[in-house]
Amino acid sequence: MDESSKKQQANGKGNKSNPFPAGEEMFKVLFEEVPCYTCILDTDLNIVAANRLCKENFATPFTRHCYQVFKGRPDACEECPAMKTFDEGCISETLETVKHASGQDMQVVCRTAPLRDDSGKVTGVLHMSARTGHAEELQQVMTSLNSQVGAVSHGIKGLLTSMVGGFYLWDSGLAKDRADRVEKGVDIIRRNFHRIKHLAHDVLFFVKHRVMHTEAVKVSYLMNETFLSVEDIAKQMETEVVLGDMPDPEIMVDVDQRAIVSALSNLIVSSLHDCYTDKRDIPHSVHMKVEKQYNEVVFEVSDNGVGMDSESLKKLFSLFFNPKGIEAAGIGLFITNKLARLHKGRVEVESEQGKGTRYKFYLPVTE
Amino acid sequence: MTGPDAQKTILVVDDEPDIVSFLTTLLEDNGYKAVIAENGEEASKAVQAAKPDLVSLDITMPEKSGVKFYRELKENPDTSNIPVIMVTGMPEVFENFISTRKQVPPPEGYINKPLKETKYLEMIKELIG
Repeated sequence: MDESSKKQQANGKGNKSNPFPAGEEMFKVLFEEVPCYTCILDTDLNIVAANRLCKENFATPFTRHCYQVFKGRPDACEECPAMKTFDEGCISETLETVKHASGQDMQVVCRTAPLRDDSGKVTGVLHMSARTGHAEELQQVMTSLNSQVGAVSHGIKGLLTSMVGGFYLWDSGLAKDRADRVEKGVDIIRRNFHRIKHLAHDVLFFVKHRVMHTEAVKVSYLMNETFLSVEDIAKQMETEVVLGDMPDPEIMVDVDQRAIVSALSNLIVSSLHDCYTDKRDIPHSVHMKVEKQYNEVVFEVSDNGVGMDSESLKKLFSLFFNPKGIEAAGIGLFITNKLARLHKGRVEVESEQGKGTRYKFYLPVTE
Repeated sequence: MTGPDAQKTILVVDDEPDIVSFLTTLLEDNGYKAVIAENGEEASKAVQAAKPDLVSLDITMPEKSGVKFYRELKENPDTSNIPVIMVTGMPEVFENFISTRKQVPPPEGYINKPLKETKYLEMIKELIG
């Protein structure tokens, strides 16, 4: 090798016979140009280095935690592959949903590998991820479906446990001649029967491909039908549902009447549950009213129940997200949101933990 | 913690009021004192205040507060010896979670929903008498 080539090689540059960089420069190029999103994390999950593809596809600045950059989360993921690698010192692989810089969700296969110091201690993690192909997407759909079925099963088991409890109170109340206990047991059985009925209805609605039968319907009619559909469960939840003034009977919307009554009743049931589980010693109630705003009709359902924190609000309409524990296994509000959009409407929610929640269900008015 | 002949205290951690009614009545009918917490944060406070002999924990409460409480209970040397019975509708999910967290020991008992009273009481008796 001539002196010029030797110098080039020492500087990490290739030469005429070997165009590729050498030495430390080669590793820098490899890191920067590897065709997947690559970064290095420290033990606090801070990104200490990121390659070009990573910087081009995820939100800056990069001097933040990986969960902030890749997922827009304020805290670490529950099932963090990097933490698993730190804990166990081995390669970990997961399927993840990350947030592209454009705001779109993206499915990636993520692999993490340990980086060790001279003593063998894991002091960093190499984090590499790549967009999934068709096979991985199908696998993810199947995994998601399995967990959704599991979530419904869990919801049903919780309601059945409550019914077991009701029967225990009933039987033991009879045995001990305690009428108050028998009455409590019967109440529990009735309440959970209605909740199971509602859940079954939601699951069927979700799985059935339903053709919308749209027609012009009076808004006042929808309000009345919704009220009637929740009367029983409101009684079991020991919470009053109060109807506001009836709107102008001439206001109409083009909707599938059964679908909209179902959507609105889901909002009321959600509010009823928030009131029922609120431990504050105050009278609880759910209010429903409707008013016309320009070319839209707004059905408003409000309560003074437990309310929700901001994190729960963000995920409220996600399928099977369930901030309320077992109630309806997280299907009802997802269905409500979906039905609103199918009718060219929308749902807005305001909530404050410890104060209550307000839902607004918008529909376009029939011209 | 209570002496060998004193009434045993059980902390029931569950966010569902009907299940809480059921379990507290069942436990009191069988000679235990029941203390209630409806989320992980309340449970942490209740453990300090009531010093229970056993914890009955619904692991699938909102915001994973049951999981966080369990981890804190078992990582604290003052409370790690308190036996825990996990009440869950999804045992496979929890077993998988626990097996991937090597520093957290598994609970002393699992019971699946819907819960059978006799099995629940047998498990408690086996753990604390």
